[in-house]
Amino acid sequence: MIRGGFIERNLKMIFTLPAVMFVVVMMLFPIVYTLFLSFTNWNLTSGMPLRFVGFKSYARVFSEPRFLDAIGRTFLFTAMCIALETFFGMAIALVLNRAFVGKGLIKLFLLLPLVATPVAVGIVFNLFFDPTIGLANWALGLVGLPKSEWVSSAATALPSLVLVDVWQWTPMIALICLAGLASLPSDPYESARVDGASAPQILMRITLPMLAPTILTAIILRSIDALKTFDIIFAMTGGGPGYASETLNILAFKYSLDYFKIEQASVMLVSLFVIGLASSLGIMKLRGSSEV
Amino acid sequence: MKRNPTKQALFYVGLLFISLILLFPFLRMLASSFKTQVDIISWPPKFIWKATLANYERVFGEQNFLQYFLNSTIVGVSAIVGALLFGLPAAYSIARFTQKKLSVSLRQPRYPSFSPETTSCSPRYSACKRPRPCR
Repeated sequence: MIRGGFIERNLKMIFTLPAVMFVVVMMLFPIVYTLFLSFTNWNLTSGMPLRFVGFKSYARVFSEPRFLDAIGRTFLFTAMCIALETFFGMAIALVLNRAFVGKGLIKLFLLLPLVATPVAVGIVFNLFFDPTIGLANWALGLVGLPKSEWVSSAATALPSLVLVDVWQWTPMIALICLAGLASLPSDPYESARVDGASAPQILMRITLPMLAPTILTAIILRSIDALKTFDIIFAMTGGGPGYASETLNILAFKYSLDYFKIEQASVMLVSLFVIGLASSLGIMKLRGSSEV
Repeated sequence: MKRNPTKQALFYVGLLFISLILLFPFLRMLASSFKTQVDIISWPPKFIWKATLANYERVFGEQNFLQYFLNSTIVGVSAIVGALLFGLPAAYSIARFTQKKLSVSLRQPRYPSFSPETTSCSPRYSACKRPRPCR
Protein backbone atom coordinates (compact mmCIF):
# COMPACT_ATOMS: atom_id res chain seq x y z
CA MET A 1 0.00 0.00 0.00
CA ILE A 2 2.14 2.88 -1.26
CA ARG A 3 -0.81 5.23 -1.21
CA GLY A 4 -1.71 4.39 2.37
CA GLY A 5 1.92 4.83 3.30
CA PHE A 6 2.02 8.25 1.68
CA ILE A 7 -1.07 9.42 3.58
CA GLU A 8 0.26 7.89 6.78
CA ARG A 9 3.61 9.67 6.43
CA ASN A 10 2.15 13.06 5.55
CA LEU A 11 -0.81 12.91 7.90
CA LYS A 12 0.11 16.09 9.71
CA MET A 13 0.28 18.08 6.47
CA ILE A 14 -2.94 16.62 5.09
CA PHE A 15 -4.85 17.30 8.29
CA THR A 16 -3.71 20.91 8.56
CA LEU A 17 -4.10 21.67 4.87
CA PRO A 18 -7.87 22.42 4.95
CA ALA A 19 -7.49 24.88 7.82
CA VAL A 20 -4.51 26.59 6.21
CA MET A 21 -6.34 26.78 2.90
CA PHE A 22 -9.33 28.26 4.67
CA VAL A 23 -7.25 30.93 6.41
CA VAL A 24 -5.53 31.80 3.14
CA VAL A 25 -8.67 31.95 0.99
CA MET A 26 -11.14 33.47 3.42
CA MET A 27 -8.93 35.70 5.58
CA LEU A 28 -5.60 36.42 3.94
CA PHE A 29 -6.89 36.81 0.40
CA PRO A 30 -9.43 39.58 1.16
CA ILE A 31 -6.75 41.60 2.95
CA VAL A 32 -4.25 41.24 0.12
CA TYR A 33 -6.93 41.91 -2.48
CA THR A 34 -8.08 45.04 -0.65
CA LEU A 35 -4.48 46.22 -0.59
CA PHE A 36 -4.31 45.56 -4.35
CA LEU A 37 -7.58 47.45 -4.97
CA SER A 38 -6.36 50.46 -3.01
CA PHE A 39 -3.72 51.06 -5.72
CA THR A 40 -6.22 50.86 -8.57
CA ASN A 41 -8.95 53.13 -9.88
CA TRP A 42 -11.78 50.60 -9.50
CA ASN A 43 -14.85 52.78 -9.30
CA LEU A 44 -18.08 51.03 -10.22
CA THR A 45 -19.83 54.20 -11.38
CA SER A 46 -17.07 55.56 -13.63
CA GLY A 47 -17.00 52.63 -16.08
CA MET A 48 -13.27 53.09 -16.55
CA PRO A 49 -11.17 49.95 -17.09
CA LEU A 50 -9.26 48.71 -14.08
CA ARG A 51 -5.70 49.99 -13.96
CA PHE A 52 -2.99 50.88 -11.47
CA VAL A 53 -2.89 54.48 -10.35
CA GLY A 54 -0.32 54.15 -7.57
CA PHE A 55 -0.96 56.33 -4.54
CA LYS A 56 -3.59 58.50 -6.20
CA SER A 57 -6.47 57.12 -4.13
CA TYR A 58 -4.37 57.46 -0.98
CA ALA A 59 -3.70 61.13 -1.68
CA ARG A 60 -7.37 61.71 -2.36
CA VAL A 61 -8.62 59.93 0.77
CA PHE A 62 -6.04 61.41 3.12
CA SER A 63 -7.01 64.93 2.08
CA GLU A 64 -10.70 64.20 2.62
CA PRO A 65 -11.97 65.92 5.82
CA ARG A 66 -14.73 63.34 6.23
CA PHE A 67 -12.12 60.58 6.42
CA LEU A 68 -9.94 62.44 8.91
CA ASP A 69 -12.99 63.15 11.09
CA ALA A 70 -13.91 59.47 10.95
CA ILE A 71 -10.43 58.47 12.16
CA GLY A 72 -10.72 60.82 15.13
CA ARG A 73 -14.22 59.55 15.86
CA THR A 74 -13.07 55.92 15.69
CA PHE A 75 -10.35 56.59 18.23
CA LEU A 76 -12.69 58.58 20.47
CA PHE A 77 -15.32 55.85 20.34
CA THR A 78 -12.76 53.14 21.10
CA ALA A 79 -11.14 55.08 23.93
CA MET A 80 -14.47 55.83 25.63
CA CYS A 81 -15.66 52.25 25.23
CA ILE A 82 -12.45 50.67 26.52
CA ALA A 83 -12.16 53.03 29.51
CA LEU A 84 -15.75 52.51 30.67
CA GLU A 85 -15.84 48.79 29.91
CA THR A 86 -12.57 48.04 31.68
CA PHE A 87 -13.61 50.05 34.74
CA PHE A 88 -17.11 48.59 35.06
CA GLY A 89 -16.04 45.10 34.00
CA MET A 90 -13.30 45.09 36.64
CA ALA A 91 -15.72 46.45 39.27
CA ILE A 92 -18.32 43.80 38.49
CA ALA A 93 -15.68 41.07 38.59
CA LEU A 94 -14.43 42.25 42.01
CA VAL A 95 -17.99 42.35 43.39
CA LEU A 96 -18.82 38.89 42.08
CA ASN A 97 -15.52 37.29 43.13
CA ARG A 98 -16.90 35.42 46.15
CA ALA A 99 -19.19 32.49 46.80
CA PHE A 100 -22.86 33.42 47.05
CA VAL A 101 -26.29 32.02 46.30
CA GLY A 102 -27.25 32.56 42.65
CA LYS A 103 -23.73 33.12 41.26
CA GLY A 104 -24.51 30.83 38.33
CA LEU A 105 -27.60 32.86 37.52
CA ILE A 106 -25.68 36.15 37.52
CA LYS A 107 -23.03 34.61 35.25
CA LEU A 108 -25.84 33.58 32.90
CA PHE A 109 -27.17 37.15 32.92
CA LEU A 110 -23.65 38.36 32.08
CA LEU A 111 -23.60 36.08 29.05
CA LEU A 112 -26.92 37.31 27.66
CA PRO A 113 -25.71 40.65 26.18
CA LEU A 114 -22.79 38.82 24.53
CA VAL A 115 -25.07 36.43 22.66
CA ALA A 116 -27.75 38.99 21.81
CA THR A 117 -28.12 39.86 18.13
CA PRO A 118 -26.51 43.29 17.61
CA VAL A 119 -29.24 44.45 15.25
CA ALA A 120 -31.97 43.50 17.75
CA VAL A 121 -30.00 45.28 20.48
CA GLY A 122 -29.79 48.33 18.23
CA ILE A 123 -33.54 48.34 17.62
CA VAL A 124 -34.37 48.01 21.32
CA PHE A 125 -31.96 50.77 22.26
CA ASN A 126 -33.36 53.00 19.51
CA LEU A 127 -36.80 52.61 21.09
CA PHE A 128 -35.24 53.22 24.47
CA PHE A 129 -33.41 56.37 23.27
CA ASP A 130 -36.41 57.81 21.42
CA PRO A 131 -36.61 61.52 22.38
CA THR A 132 -40.41 61.61 22.77
CA ILE A 133 -41.52 58.14 23.86
CA GLY A 134 -38.26 56.56 25.03
CA LEU A 135 -37.75 54.99 28.41
CA ALA A 136 -34.36 56.72 28.74
CA ASN A 137 -35.90 60.19 28.84
CA TRP A 138 -38.60 58.93 31.18
CA ALA A 139 -35.90 57.66 33.55
CA LEU A 140 -34.05 60.99 33.29
CA GLY A 141 -37.32 62.77 34.15
CA LEU A 142 -37.79 60.56 37.22
CA VAL A 143 -34.54 61.75 38.76
CA GLY A 144 -35.18 65.33 37.64
CA LEU A 145 -32.60 65.60 34.85
CA PRO A 146 -33.37 67.42 31.60
CA LYS A 147 -34.32 65.33 28.57
CA SER A 148 -31.61 64.32 26.12
CA GLU A 149 -31.85 63.81 22.37
CA TRP A 150 -29.65 60.69 22.50
CA VAL A 151 -28.94 59.37 19.01
CA SER A 152 -31.10 61.99 17.31
CA SER A 153 -28.67 64.86 17.89
CA ALA A 154 -25.17 65.21 16.53
CA ALA A 155 -23.73 66.14 19.93
CA THR A 156 -25.00 63.10 21.83
CA ALA A 157 -25.07 60.43 19.11
CA LEU A 158 -21.56 59.05 19.65
CA PRO A 159 -21.74 58.97 23.49
CA SER A 160 -25.12 57.21 23.23
CA LEU A 161 -23.60 54.58 20.96
CA VAL A 162 -20.76 54.18 23.47
CA LEU A 163 -23.40 53.45 26.13
CA VAL A 164 -24.87 50.67 24.00
CA ASP A 165 -21.43 49.22 23.33
CA VAL A 166 -20.63 49.41 27.05
CA TRP A 167 -23.87 47.60 27.83
CA GLN A 168 -23.08 44.85 25.38
CA TRP A 169 -19.38 44.29 26.01
CA THR A 170 -18.71 45.12 29.68
CA PRO A 171 -19.85 41.58 30.59
CA MET A 172 -17.07 40.13 28.42
CA ILE A 173 -14.39 42.03 30.37
CA ALA A 174 -16.16 41.09 33.62
CA LEU A 175 -16.15 37.39 32.73
CA ILE A 176 -12.50 37.43 31.64
CA CYS A 177 -11.48 39.24 34.85
CA LEU A 178 -13.62 36.89 36.94
CA ALA A 179 -11.81 33.91 35.42
CA GLY A 180 -8.49 35.66 36.08
CA LEU A 181 -9.40 36.40 39.70
CA ALA A 182 -10.40 32.78 40.28
CA SER A 183 -6.99 31.58 39.12
CA LEU A 184 -4.96 33.88 41.43
CA PRO A 185 -2.97 32.14 44.19
CA SER A 186 -4.24 32.69 47.74
CA ASP A 187 -0.88 32.85 49.60
CA PRO A 188 -0.16 36.57 48.96
CA TYR A 189 -3.57 37.43 50.39
CA GLU A 190 -2.97 35.40 53.53
CA SER A 191 0.40 36.99 54.22
CA ALA A 192 -1.00 40.46 53.47
CA ARG A 193 -3.76 39.89 56.00
CA VAL A 194 -1.23 38.66 58.55
CA ASP A 195 0.79 41.84 57.97
CA GLY A 196 -2.36 43.90 58.56
CA ALA A 197 -2.93 45.27 55.05
CA SER A 198 -6.24 47.09 54.54
CA ALA A 199 -8.75 46.09 51.86
CA PRO A 200 -7.83 48.99 49.49
CA GLN A 201 -4.13 48.17 49.93
CA ILE A 202 -4.78 44.54 49.07
CA LEU A 203 -6.72 45.63 45.98
CA MET A 204 -4.14 48.14 44.73
CA ARG A 205 -0.94 46.29 45.68
CA ILE A 206 -1.87 42.65 45.16
CA THR A 207 -5.02 42.04 43.14
CA LEU A 208 -4.55 44.60 40.37
CA PRO A 209 -0.84 43.92 39.69
CA MET A 210 -1.42 40.17 39.64
CA LEU A 211 -4.43 40.59 37.37
CA ALA A 212 -2.72 43.05 35.00
CA PRO A 213 -1.89 40.48 32.26
CA THR A 214 -5.50 39.30 32.20
CA ILE A 215 -6.83 42.86 32.03
CA LEU A 216 -4.39 43.68 29.21
CA THR A 217 -5.51 40.66 27.22
CA ALA A 218 -9.13 41.71 27.65
CA ILE A 219 -8.27 45.27 26.60
CA ILE A 220 -6.47 44.07 23.47
CA LEU A 221 -9.37 41.84 22.44
CA ARG A 222 -11.88 44.61 23.08
CA SER A 223 -9.85 47.34 21.32
CA ILE A 224 -9.60 45.33 18.12
CA ASP A 225 -13.35 44.80 18.14
CA ALA A 226 -14.20 48.35 19.21
CA LEU A 227 -12.03 49.87 16.46
CA LYS A 228 -14.07 48.05 13.85
CA THR A 229 -17.50 48.28 15.49
CA PHE A 230 -20.03 48.14 12.72
CA ASP A 231 -23.34 46.46 13.52
CA ILE A 232 -24.54 48.58 16.45
CA ILE A 233 -23.71 51.87 14.75
CA PHE A 234 -25.16 50.74 11.44
CA ALA A 235 -28.38 49.49 13.03
CA MET A 236 -28.90 52.52 15.25
CA THR A 237 -27.77 55.62 13.36
CA GLY A 238 -26.21 54.46 10.10
CA GLY A 239 -23.44 56.99 10.82
CA GLY A 240 -25.84 59.88 11.30
CA PRO A 241 -27.21 62.36 12.09
CA GLY A 242 -25.15 63.94 9.34
CA TYR A 243 -21.73 62.34 9.78
CA ALA A 244 -21.88 62.63 13.59
CA SER A 245 -21.38 58.95 14.40
CA GLU A 246 -19.54 57.85 11.28
CA THR A 247 -16.57 55.68 12.22
CA LEU A 248 -13.96 54.39 9.81
CA ASN A 249 -15.68 51.08 9.21
CA ILE A 250 -19.08 52.68 8.53
CA LEU A 251 -17.46 55.22 6.21
CA ALA A 252 -15.65 52.48 4.28
CA PHE A 253 -18.88 50.53 3.95
CA LYS A 254 -20.70 53.59 2.61
CA TYR A 255 -17.92 54.32 0.15
CA SER A 256 -17.84 50.78 -1.19
CA LEU A 257 -21.49 49.73 -1.30
CA ASP A 258 -23.40 53.05 -1.28
CA TYR A 259 -21.14 55.22 -3.47
CA PHE A 260 -19.30 52.34 -5.23
CA LYS A 261 -15.95 54.09 -4.82
CA ILE A 262 -14.20 50.79 -4.16
CA GLU A 263 -10.71 52.24 -4.62
CA GLN A 264 -11.20 54.84 -1.89
CA ALA A 265 -13.02 52.41 0.39
CA SER A 266 -10.02 50.06 0.05
CA VAL A 267 -7.66 52.82 1.14
CA MET A 268 -9.82 53.39 4.23
CA LEU A 269 -9.92 49.68 5.06
CA VAL A 270 -6.17 49.37 4.67
CA SER A 271 -5.78 52.32 7.06
CA LEU A 272 -8.17 50.73 9.55
CA PHE A 273 -6.24 47.46 9.33
CA VAL A 274 -2.94 49.24 9.94
CA ILE A 275 -4.44 51.19 12.86
CA GLY A 276 -5.81 48.02 14.44
CA LEU A 277 -2.55 46.13 14.00
CA ALA A 278 -0.44 49.05 15.26
CA SER A 279 -2.54 49.65 18.36
CA SER A 280 -2.58 46.04 19.45
CA LEU A 281 1.13 45.63 18.78
CA GLY A 282 1.64 48.80 20.80
CA ILE A 283 -0.36 47.46 23.73
CA MET A 284 1.45 44.12 23.56
CA LYS A 285 4.80 45.89 23.51
CA LEU A 286 3.68 47.86 26.56
CA ARG A 287 2.89 44.59 28.31
CA GLY A 288 6.27 43.15 27.37
CA SER A 289 8.24 46.16 28.60
CA SER A 290 6.45 46.47 31.94
CA GLU A 291 7.17 42.78 32.66
CA VAL A 292 3.75 41.97 34.03
CA MET B 1 -15.99 34.31 58.62
CA LYS B 2 -19.36 35.83 59.51
CA ARG B 3 -20.61 38.64 57.33
CA ASN B 4 -22.27 41.79 58.53
CA PRO B 5 -26.01 41.57 57.58
CA THR B 6 -26.11 45.18 56.35
CA LYS B 7 -23.17 44.52 54.05
CA GLN B 8 -24.81 41.32 52.87
CA ALA B 9 -28.03 43.19 52.04
CA LEU B 10 -26.06 45.88 50.19
CA PHE B 11 -24.29 43.20 48.19
CA TYR B 12 -27.58 41.71 47.03
CA VAL B 13 -28.99 45.15 46.17
CA GLY B 14 -25.89 45.63 44.04
CA LEU B 15 -26.47 42.27 42.36
CA LEU B 16 -30.09 43.23 41.65
CA PHE B 17 -28.89 46.51 40.12
CA ILE B 18 -26.35 44.76 37.87
CA SER B 19 -28.94 42.19 36.79
CA LEU B 20 -31.51 44.87 36.01
CA ILE B 21 -29.08 46.78 33.80
CA LEU B 22 -28.07 43.58 32.02
CA LEU B 23 -31.64 42.40 31.53
CA PHE B 24 -33.70 45.50 30.79
CA PRO B 25 -33.46 45.37 26.96
CA PHE B 26 -34.62 41.76 27.06
CA LEU B 27 -37.42 42.58 29.50
CA ARG B 28 -38.42 45.47 27.27
CA MET B 29 -38.55 43.15 24.25
CA LEU B 30 -40.55 40.59 26.21
CA ALA B 31 -42.97 43.22 27.53
CA SER B 32 -43.45 44.79 24.11
CA SER B 33 -44.28 41.41 22.63
CA PHE B 34 -47.39 41.27 24.87
CA LYS B 35 -48.40 44.90 24.22
CA THR B 36 -50.53 46.47 21.56
CA GLN B 37 -48.93 49.08 19.29
CA VAL B 38 -50.66 51.84 21.28
CA ASP B 39 -49.31 50.54 24.58
CA ILE B 40 -45.76 50.25 23.23
CA ILE B 41 -45.54 53.92 22.25
CA SER B 42 -47.64 55.29 25.11
CA TRP B 43 -46.25 58.12 27.22
CA PRO B 44 -45.55 57.81 30.11
CA PRO B 45 -44.44 54.18 29.63
CA LYS B 46 -46.94 51.63 30.89
CA PHE B 47 -45.71 49.08 33.41
CA ILE B 48 -49.17 47.57 33.94
CA TRP B 49 -51.21 46.80 30.86
CA LYS B 50 -53.72 44.34 29.48
CA ALA B 51 -51.62 41.56 27.97
CA THR B 52 -52.37 40.54 24.40
CA LEU B 53 -51.28 37.55 22.35
CA ALA B 54 -52.18 39.25 19.07
CA ASN B 55 -48.52 39.81 18.12
CA TYR B 56 -47.70 36.13 18.57
CA GLU B 57 -50.76 35.12 16.57
CA ARG B 58 -49.73 37.45 13.78
CA VAL B 59 -46.08 36.37 13.65
CA PHE B 60 -46.71 32.63 13.85
CA GLY B 61 -50.00 32.65 11.95
CA GLU B 62 -49.93 35.24 9.21
CA GLN B 63 -46.23 35.67 8.56
CA ASN B 64 -43.97 32.90 7.44
CA PHE B 65 -41.93 33.04 10.64
CA LEU B 66 -41.06 29.35 10.78
CA GLN B 67 -39.46 29.61 7.33
CA TYR B 68 -37.07 32.33 8.60
CA PHE B 69 -36.39 30.24 11.68
CA LEU B 70 -35.55 27.28 9.45
CA ASN B 71 -33.27 29.46 7.30
CA SER B 72 -31.30 30.59 10.37
CA THR B 73 -31.03 27.02 11.58
CA ILE B 74 -29.70 25.84 8.21
CA VAL B 75 -27.09 28.61 8.17
CA GLY B 76 -26.08 27.99 11.77
CA VAL B 77 -25.81 24.23 11.54
CA SER B 78 -23.91 24.20 8.25
CA ALA B 79 -21.51 26.86 9.56
CA ILE B 80 -20.73 24.72 12.60
CA VAL B 81 -20.33 21.56 10.51
CA GLY B 82 -18.03 23.43 8.12
CA ALA B 83 -15.97 24.89 10.96
CA LEU B 84 -15.57 21.45 12.54
CA LEU B 85 -14.65 19.90 9.21
CA PHE B 86 -11.85 22.42 8.70
CA GLY B 87 -10.87 22.91 12.32
CA LEU B 88 -10.89 19.44 13.89
CA PRO B 89 -8.24 17.78 11.68
CA ALA B 90 -5.99 20.80 12.14
CA ALA B 91 -6.50 20.74 15.90
CA TYR B 92 -5.72 17.03 15.99
CA SER B 93 -2.63 17.54 13.90
CA ILE B 94 -1.37 20.38 16.09
CA ALA B 95 -1.95 18.38 19.24
CA ARG B 96 -0.54 15.11 17.84
CA PHE B 97 2.53 16.38 16.01
CA THR B 98 4.76 19.29 16.88
CA GLN B 99 4.61 21.92 14.19
CA LYS B 100 6.02 24.96 15.81
CA LYS B 101 5.56 27.62 13.18
CA LEU B 102 2.23 26.40 11.89
CA SER B 103 0.68 25.93 15.29
CA VAL B 104 1.67 29.45 16.32
CA SER B 105 0.06 30.93 13.24
CA LEU B 106 -3.08 28.83 13.61
CA ARG B 107 -3.39 29.48 17.32
CA GLN B 108 -3.55 33.22 16.69
CA PRO B 109 -6.93 33.32 14.97
CA ARG B 110 -7.27 36.94 16.10
CA TYR B 111 -4.66 38.18 13.64
CA PRO B 112 -6.83 38.02 10.53
CA SER B 113 -9.61 39.63 12.52
CA PHE B 114 -7.68 42.90 12.56
CA SER B 115 -9.31 43.36 9.21
CA PRO B 116 -12.92 44.45 9.47
CA GLU B 117 -15.62 42.29 7.89
CA THR B 118 -16.18 45.01 5.31
CA THR B 119 -12.74 44.20 3.91
CA SER B 120 -14.08 41.03 2.37
CA CYS B 121 -16.98 42.88 0.71
CA SER B 122 -15.12 43.97 -2.40
CA PRO B 123 -13.21 40.71 -2.95
CA ARG B 124 -16.40 38.66 -2.59
CA TYR B 125 -18.27 41.07 -4.79
CA SER B 126 -15.65 40.86 -7.50
CA ALA B 127 -15.48 37.07 -7.14
CA CYS B 128 -19.16 36.97 -8.05
CA LYS B 129 -19.07 39.70 -10.68
CA ARG B 130 -15.91 40.64 -12.53
CA PRO B 131 -15.42 44.31 -13.31
CA ARG B 132 -16.41 44.82 -16.95
CA PRO B 133 -14.79 47.71 -18.66
CA CYS B 134 -17.38 49.42 -20.86
CA ARG B 135 -15.75 51.64 -23.38
